[in-house]
Amino acid sequence: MARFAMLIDASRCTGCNACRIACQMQWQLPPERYYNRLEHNEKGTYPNTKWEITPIQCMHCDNPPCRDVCPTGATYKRTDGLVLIDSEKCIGCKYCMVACPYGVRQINYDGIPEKCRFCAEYIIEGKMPPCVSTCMNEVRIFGDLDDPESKISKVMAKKAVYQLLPEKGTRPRIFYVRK
Amino acid sequence: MFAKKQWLTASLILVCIGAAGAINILINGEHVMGNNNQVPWGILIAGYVFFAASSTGVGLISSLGHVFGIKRFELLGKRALLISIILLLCGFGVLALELANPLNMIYILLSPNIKSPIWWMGALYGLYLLLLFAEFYYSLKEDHKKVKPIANIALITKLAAVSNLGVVFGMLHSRPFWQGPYYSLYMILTAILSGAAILSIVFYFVGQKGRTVIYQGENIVRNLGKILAGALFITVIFTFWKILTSLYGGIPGKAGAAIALLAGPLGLKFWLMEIILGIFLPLFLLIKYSFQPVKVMFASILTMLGVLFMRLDFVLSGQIIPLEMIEGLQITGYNAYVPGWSEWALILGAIGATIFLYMLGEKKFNLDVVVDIHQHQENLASTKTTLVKVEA
Repeated sequence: MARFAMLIDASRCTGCNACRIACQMQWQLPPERYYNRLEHNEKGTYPNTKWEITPIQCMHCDNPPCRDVCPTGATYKRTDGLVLIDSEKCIGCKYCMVACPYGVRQINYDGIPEKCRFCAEYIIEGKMPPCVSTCMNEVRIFGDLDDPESKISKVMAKKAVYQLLPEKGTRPRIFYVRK
Repeated sequence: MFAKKQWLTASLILVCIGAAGAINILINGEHVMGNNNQVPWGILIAGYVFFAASSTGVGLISSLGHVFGIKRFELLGKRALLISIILLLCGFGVLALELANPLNMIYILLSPNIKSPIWWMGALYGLYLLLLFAEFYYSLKEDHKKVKPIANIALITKLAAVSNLGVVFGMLHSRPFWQGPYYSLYMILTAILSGAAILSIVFYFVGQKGRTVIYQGENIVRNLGKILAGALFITVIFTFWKILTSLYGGIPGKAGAAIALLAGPLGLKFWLMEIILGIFLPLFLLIKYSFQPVKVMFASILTMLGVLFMRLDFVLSGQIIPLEMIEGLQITGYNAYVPGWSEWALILGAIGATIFLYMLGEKKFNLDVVVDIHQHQENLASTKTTLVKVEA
């Protein structure tokens, strides 16, 4: 069984937002709705300042609070690690939105709190999610952690990585290369 | 104070306003509501908490009579049950319009997730509503042998339901201001607060109509006023320590939410509506006028206004601080939330529906408590108030 994950090297990000737009095109989202975003943080003191950019999207946590709080089990975690939503079961209570510490859920026109799906329908065909394939600087690497020959496994073996908000106990499947 | 016709007209106007809001939400969905991706829960969740906790509070106070056997509170009897039912139904109505897909509620039964506090909220309040209907039905039939065990189970259910209402928020590790067991206790306390206030208002007007509100020479509204004062006083203590512990140490997410309440975008609602109008002014009226029924009634109206804003402050304060998922991220400003007119209309409509349905219930059912003949004669001797018809 695959164990899908993503590695993000934020230091390579130019802030062009192509990942966000590629995702919006893939899923036909209106401009105001997006499943990935860039957080900008100003570091240093004038004149030695810089923007630090961190791409954020659903972390596909191994212990997802959005799944635990969902009263109907509409949010579920697949054995390959993807956290998905069964919109047929969603009552639209938005509890998952309030429970997510990463703020990645977006209400769609049907009142379903949608989010990044790791492009579930495409990756099973061996394709890469557009946020990965469109990036000119190869900020994201997507793959199977259970495959030692996968690119993500090889890079993660060499680099120091971290996860966001480890203290929340969510165990995200998105890893960041330590700067 | 007001004639029955005026109450009826006012309540129906409110119901019409609420219906307009509900239709707008049903046609246009989430987009006419103020909630957004940063503040997913808005005034309708606050409204649901307002109605559900009030229903439980009314039930808890009436338990003093039919569970704990304190005679004077037996006067509350059927009226308290009816109010409790109506408030809970109005709460469910408000919640149903907040949900984007209420028809999918069937999956709460078909694929339940018992790890979810909202699942438990549905189960416990659903059970509570059924028990209320049963208790009310047998109370109308004066079948006290059946009422007693139902009331005992209902007491446990309502305590579980209202404390679980706090858990819905307390389980959220993503929202430091809510997280923890505090809001479970707070919900029980403020349920009693709103329950005492609502019963005071109702029984003041019931007394005005010449119905039984006197027990051993003392008006029940005075007793309810004392409970109200006690609950208000403890609410001050709870609120004070909640704010102080949140500020202490400047913990991200907690301190910011407390500052938002004290001096931020929620400041006016918190100080003016929740603290001054909702707590201190009622306390002043109650103590200064020694629990005179008319003053208790005014204090109760102010309290309920305060409780409405208390619920709104509570729901918004947990979401007003932007999430800090990156260490050292500079957070500037607050998450914005402005309720749409439809949401306010719906809350007003639910208040109108509560008044209208209660008046309908007063007309339809015999809600007077049957007191035993000795007590009845005692009351006649001690007061000049008209008493209820006594069953043979």
